[in-house]
Amino acid sequence: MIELTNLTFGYNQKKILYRDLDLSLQPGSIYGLLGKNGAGKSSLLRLMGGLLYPTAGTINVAGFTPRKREPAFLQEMYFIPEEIYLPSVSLNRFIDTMGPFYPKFSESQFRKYLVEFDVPPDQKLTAMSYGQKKKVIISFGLATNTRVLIMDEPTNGLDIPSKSQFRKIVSSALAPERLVLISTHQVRDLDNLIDGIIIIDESEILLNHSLNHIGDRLMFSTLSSVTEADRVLYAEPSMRGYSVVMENLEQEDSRVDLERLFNAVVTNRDGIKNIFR
Amino acid sequence: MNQTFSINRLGLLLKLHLIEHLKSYLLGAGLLFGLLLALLLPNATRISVFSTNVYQNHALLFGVFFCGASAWFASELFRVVSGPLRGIPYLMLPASQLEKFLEAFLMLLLFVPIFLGVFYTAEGICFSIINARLPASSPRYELLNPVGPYMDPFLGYLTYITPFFFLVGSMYFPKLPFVKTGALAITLLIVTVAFVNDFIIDLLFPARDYYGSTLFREVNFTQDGRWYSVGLTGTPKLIINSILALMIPALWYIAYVRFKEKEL
Repeated sequence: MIELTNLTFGYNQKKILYRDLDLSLQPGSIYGLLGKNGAGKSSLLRLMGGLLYPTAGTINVAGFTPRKREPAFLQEMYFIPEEIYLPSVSLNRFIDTMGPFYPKFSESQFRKYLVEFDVPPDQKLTAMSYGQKKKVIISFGLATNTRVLIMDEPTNGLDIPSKSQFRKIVSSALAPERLVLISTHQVRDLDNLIDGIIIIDESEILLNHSLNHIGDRLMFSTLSSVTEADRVLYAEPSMRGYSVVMENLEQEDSRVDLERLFNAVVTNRDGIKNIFR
Repeated sequence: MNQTFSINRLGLLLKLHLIEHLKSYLLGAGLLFGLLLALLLPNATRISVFSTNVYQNHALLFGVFFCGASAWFASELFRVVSGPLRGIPYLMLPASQLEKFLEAFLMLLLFVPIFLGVFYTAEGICFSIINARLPASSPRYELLNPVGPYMDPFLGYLTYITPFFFLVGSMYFPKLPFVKTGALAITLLIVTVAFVNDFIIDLLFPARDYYGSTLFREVNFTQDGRWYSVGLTGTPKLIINSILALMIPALWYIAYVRFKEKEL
């Protein structure tokens, strides 16, 4: 569904953000894109949306070349940026003007999501709080039923109950032919939501695998002490000793801890690479 | 599905544009009407005879206000893509680049009848006040003909080119496009008048008393106490007129290319 091939991009000739990047994302999945601040998550998403043009290489999204910004492509792609803008109109007027742009938009779905998010239906959009506006945009994006839905830091501005509601609603909106890509630096917000994870750091994709595959290769456990023989890839002190990420040699079941996984990937790049080679 | 143009998508874009901006456009038109009335009414209460000088003043007012208002309006048209906050949702709207550009083009075209309506309403009010006081035998004031003899040819040309120049400016200068394009326009005007135009005139007519000119088209001077007015004719005139006319679609094309290449 999304294919990046030998992608090179930089904001100027001297500072190249990505060089020869390859990435393949499949439909029917919710991907989490993780990276430190300034790692280039938003730039990568904008490249996929055709908002930035690659210096070299190709991008294919749902069979389209994003930089052409063709209507057929834009009808299949909804992009929720980090900073959102809503026109100064009522919700009904918003539906009336924005809905017809998307052939698969469902008003009933939109209203259902708004109810689930607890957004008052009769309020003017500009009178809403930032969190409410974000909920409106997320609900609308989901209700467009585009094949690709990209969200850049969607949980910024959402309160704690709304974050769990967000996870519930997004997971319910996934369809076999749909791909959802969520970028965030708040990894806990993606817990129990994503089924694939992409970690970028220093111009490189360090990890791009499904959580099932990661669970097969890595074990997330707690040890009272860490020794060299434990083959620990990453350890951090915890209440009961050390929370660790280890190679899953015994094929044991463990729940993937996204925050620990992220820390393991960025601090032990070679170790992780060797395991997933 | 046609990827370049669809009347349905263009209609949706225009509807969205008007819904978002109608209130500010109405406020702008009201402000323009108030300003014009404030400038025209004092004279309307004083004038009691028919004089063509009134038309000259109105033509100047028309030209200056049209240039100023259209420059401001054109500067705002592509403001939406000056930053990611509004630019991303706009560029991601399912419509072609051409349709989004045509949206701005049509809005700029729509500006013309609205400006004319506002100007002539204000002028009509003033002339009806003056005409009521004129003697029965006196000719009556009629609404200004903007392409008539009272409009200075150079100012007339400026009214054509200003909105398009500022539209290009709004694509080049994301911040303060009106101010920056204005500064650029004034600089270009000074360079054109003071250096290029006057330099050519000095070359062609050395040691004459030079009085004035219409840029690249006409020069007036005195020699041995006699007044001369020299203008282009034939092919040179055609070439200059063609260049001046082609500048408008050229500016549109530049704005379109810049819009197509816009990255956020």
